[in-house]
Amino acid sequence: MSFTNNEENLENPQIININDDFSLIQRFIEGDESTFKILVYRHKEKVRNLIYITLNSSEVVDDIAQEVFLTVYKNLKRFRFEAQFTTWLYRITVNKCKDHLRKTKIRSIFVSLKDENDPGYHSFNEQKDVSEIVRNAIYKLPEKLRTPLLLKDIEGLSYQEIAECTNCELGTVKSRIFRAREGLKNILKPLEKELLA
Amino acid sequence: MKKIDKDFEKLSAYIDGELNVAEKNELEEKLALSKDLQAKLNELRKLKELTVSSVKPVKESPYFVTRLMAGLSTENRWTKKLKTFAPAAGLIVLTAAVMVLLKFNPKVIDDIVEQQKENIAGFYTENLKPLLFAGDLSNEDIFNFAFYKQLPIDPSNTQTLHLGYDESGKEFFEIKTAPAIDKKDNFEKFVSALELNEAQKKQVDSILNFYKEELQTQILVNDKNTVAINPNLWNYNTVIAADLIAFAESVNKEQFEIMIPQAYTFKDKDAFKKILQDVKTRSRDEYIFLTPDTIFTEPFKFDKEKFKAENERLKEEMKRVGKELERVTVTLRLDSNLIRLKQHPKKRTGFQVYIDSNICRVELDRTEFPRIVFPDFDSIAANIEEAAKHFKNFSITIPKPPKVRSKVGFNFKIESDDSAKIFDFNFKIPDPDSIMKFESFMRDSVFKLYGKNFYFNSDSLIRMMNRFYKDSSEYFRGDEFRKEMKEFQKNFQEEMKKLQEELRKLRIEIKKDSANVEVIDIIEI
Repeated sequence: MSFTNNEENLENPQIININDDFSLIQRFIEGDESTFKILVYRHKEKVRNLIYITLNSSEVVDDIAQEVFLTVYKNLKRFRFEAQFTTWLYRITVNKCKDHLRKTKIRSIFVSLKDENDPGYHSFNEQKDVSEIVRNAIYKLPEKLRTPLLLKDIEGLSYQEIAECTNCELGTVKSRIFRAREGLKNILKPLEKELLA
Repeated sequence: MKKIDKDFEKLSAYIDGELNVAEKNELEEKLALSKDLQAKLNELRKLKELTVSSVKPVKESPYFVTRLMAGLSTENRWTKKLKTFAPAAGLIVLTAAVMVLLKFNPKVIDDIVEQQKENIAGFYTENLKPLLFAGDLSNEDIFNFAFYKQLPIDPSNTQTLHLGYDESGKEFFEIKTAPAIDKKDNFEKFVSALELNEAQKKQVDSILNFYKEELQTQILVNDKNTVAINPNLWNYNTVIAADLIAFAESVNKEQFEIMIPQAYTFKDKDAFKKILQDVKTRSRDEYIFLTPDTIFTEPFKFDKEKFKAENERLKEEMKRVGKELERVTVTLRLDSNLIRLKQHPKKRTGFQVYIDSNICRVELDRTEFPRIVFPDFDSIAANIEEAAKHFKNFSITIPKPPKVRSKVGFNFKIESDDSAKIFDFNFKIPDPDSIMKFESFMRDSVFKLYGKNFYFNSDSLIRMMNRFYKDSSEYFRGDEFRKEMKEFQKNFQEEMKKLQEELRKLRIEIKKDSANVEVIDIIEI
């Protein structure tokens, strides 16, 4: 495998459009594996952010993002050009996050994740950062509500794209995003006056 | 779901810009009228803002791409390693699978081998046709096959099939690229010696024609260079000779008794007739297949009638379009597999194959030789064998051939005025000046001289030629010459003894009539 592109250009990628991704993938399929590096530079931050907000942890972001791109590399030659590359990429990312959550959940059965000194709750007064409060609230949402909400509000995907990423119906996505917002409102109820005024 | 919730859900989609124009217009109309909806819209907008603003981009990882590329390289190395070890791993898995398979089904390998054998046999037994066409075989050919065990296998008489027995009595056959020599006109001599009339000639013709038809099914060939020989040929060989001997006895007993000593008369004529009938009717459906890959025996039924009909149809067709049937020349090429068989005797399976540029010889030493077993057949076969030898001698010496003295040869003639017998021994030796005549003899002698050390790779003919020219006395030490000389000496001595006996009687008579007698000396041989 050889990656011959100029690093400077890669670090400042040009405006992305569908055709760019498709043409890069086409070149990759035809044997020019250097195009993979361009794709990574273009999409790595979106992938990393999605992982971060989905799992609410910066520690595992890079590891999971690496797994995502390794999966992309192995399967890119079978890409069918039926949907946007990003849709496919986000679906892989969402699945990797789900895998991680599943593993964490299994581990938590055997090992208590809570520190004995941890009281188990934090009062909002102790948490000065509003963003952090909201992030914690989002993280408390069930995964099936949280992911569509974040894909919409953070990644800016359309409902249709979210439906493809999460393998759901369009109406389900619409409903889940609404319910996520309702859930968020309930979690943040104690700070309703400060936050939602 | 309540209608109000449905509207709230639409508000959520509204702020996301996911409503179509109609839905949007409808909702905006409702919004203008409902303070609850307006409040909800504000709440949802605020929540969205909070969500968007709460998530800050994760800190960039400067080594992310470098690490990813390193990971990909490692992945590729592992993939390569896996590819390297995959065959070994596959072999181990395969071995384990075979062991398990054999444990639970030990016969599976045998079944597979049998299946493969059948496949190979099926491949080589397709489309077999007779090598000898009845129309191409003459009465002379059949006669010579009966008494000399030689059969021409092409119309131009450049290749012959020889049947034989080695010292231990095992059968072998040879395909030689040499015409039979000194086998001309034997049948004519036979006919004239028996003084056959037209009806009897027709009778012997019909006997030989029957065997022509039969013999054509005994050697088959196809376009895959397969030659299939029915071992029943050996039985046919004996039976044709017996049939001709029996015929000779029945048509001219007087001449027959001159030709064949009394001892060789078939006492049990009914048994003999039965044997003839059985060999004719009970053909063996097992052939020896010589193929480019291997030699094997396999049951095979050749449908003579079907072939005959097809051949007739084809001839008609060709006649109609104005073309003639082309004869396919079969070249028997036995490849390195057979050389390997030769080099590894343990791997042989009943055949020994000797081959050089002139001869293909197959000895059937360990083969279960398919035979037709008849009661007392062996004793009758021995009679036939002995009788056939006499026939050979008879047909060569009577009637007298034109005396052409060859450059190398022996010609003895003993005539006596007062004896009815004429002794005529004419040994023809192939003319060494002519290689064409000579090579046939050379090929005959190759096995006799080299025996089991017969060469595979070198051209044994050339070796023999050189050997002969270096020392021409080689021929005179040859088995054939020695045999002929021995036979000649034996016959000659017997005749001389008879002559002496006659002379002795004559002398006694002369002594009785002692008056005017001239004493004749006894000739000592």
